[in-house]
Amino acid sequence: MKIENFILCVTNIIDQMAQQKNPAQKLMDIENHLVEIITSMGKLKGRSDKMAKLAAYITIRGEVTQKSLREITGYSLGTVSSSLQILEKMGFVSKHKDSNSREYLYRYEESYTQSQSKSMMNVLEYLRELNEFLSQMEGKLNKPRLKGKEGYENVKEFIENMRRLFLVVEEALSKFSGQPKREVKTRDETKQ
Amino acid sequence: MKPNNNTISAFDPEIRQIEEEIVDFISKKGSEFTGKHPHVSMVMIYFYIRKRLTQRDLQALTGLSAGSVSKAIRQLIDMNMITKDIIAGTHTHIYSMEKIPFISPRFLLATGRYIGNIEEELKEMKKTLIENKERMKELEGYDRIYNTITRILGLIPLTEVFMRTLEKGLV
Repeated sequence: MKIENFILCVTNIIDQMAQQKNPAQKLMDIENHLVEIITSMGKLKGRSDKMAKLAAYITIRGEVTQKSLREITGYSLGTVSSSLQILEKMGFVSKHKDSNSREYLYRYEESYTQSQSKSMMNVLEYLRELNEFLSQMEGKLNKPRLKGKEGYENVKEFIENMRRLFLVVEEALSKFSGQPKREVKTRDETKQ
Repeated sequence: MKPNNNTISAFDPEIRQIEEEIVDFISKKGSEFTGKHPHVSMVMIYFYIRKRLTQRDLQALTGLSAGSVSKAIRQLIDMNMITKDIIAGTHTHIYSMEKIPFISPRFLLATGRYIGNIEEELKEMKKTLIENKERMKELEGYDRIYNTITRILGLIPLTEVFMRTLEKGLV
């Protein structure tokens, strides 16, 4: 074989290999970009960078183990483990025993953003608890001796704004979840 | 911008105690239910209550380190919840939350723009996946990436409806 033909042959093989590799690389780039987008969405919700990134990988991969998450992200066992605990509590993932290994599988809850999901119910429950808590705080604040004191107006306005905000959020979430909105009375209404 | 009056001693001690209880409850409970970082929650609640704060005020109020306060502030700026100014005649920055974010035009505009950009990027990615389907469909991950993009694109209109419902209910 002439040297020119040999070079041509090698070049063709390299081209073919590059073409074969290209779609995989392209898909990996798309996945990385998708991780960036979902991470930024999580950070807009106030999540930490690490928690948002872990949630992004879980959203895309569907099912992960602590080990696989550590390998992909390079995060410590402590970070991965504590983040998974929070995500499980939120109803974002569910934990399952893997019959083939000793590891636990963490499965993304497809219903996370849907009505009647554990997460949606959790948030509604939290808003109810918060509303009750704010009523208690309002009671503490409404002592005659505190009226007009420094900071009184700030805290009063905050409680009023939050209760208003949570009622609207609760109503909006109820629309999505199909749950009836609970009748919430203000402290003054309760007295009447 | 004028200096603020938000040092710990500026609030009546009994009211300060109520404030601390509120911040403590929301930053702990809220984080459990929403995944929000407790430091971000804590700093955000202080802005809701006190409106204008410096990093030094926040360190004194929260007991967090300068680094943690700075990180939480940066995230709240990225979330379009607070803005940054300079106190006139000084080099000190002051951060403000003038309105509840959900009714602040600046917040709504920035969030709307962000969602629009995300939607465009996701559509572009979906288009690439469709165009390269024949070359990629057998690759591990193709289906789940495609399905994730489709799912998020399906949620965007719901997010917009949700934001509009909040805005309507609060104005």
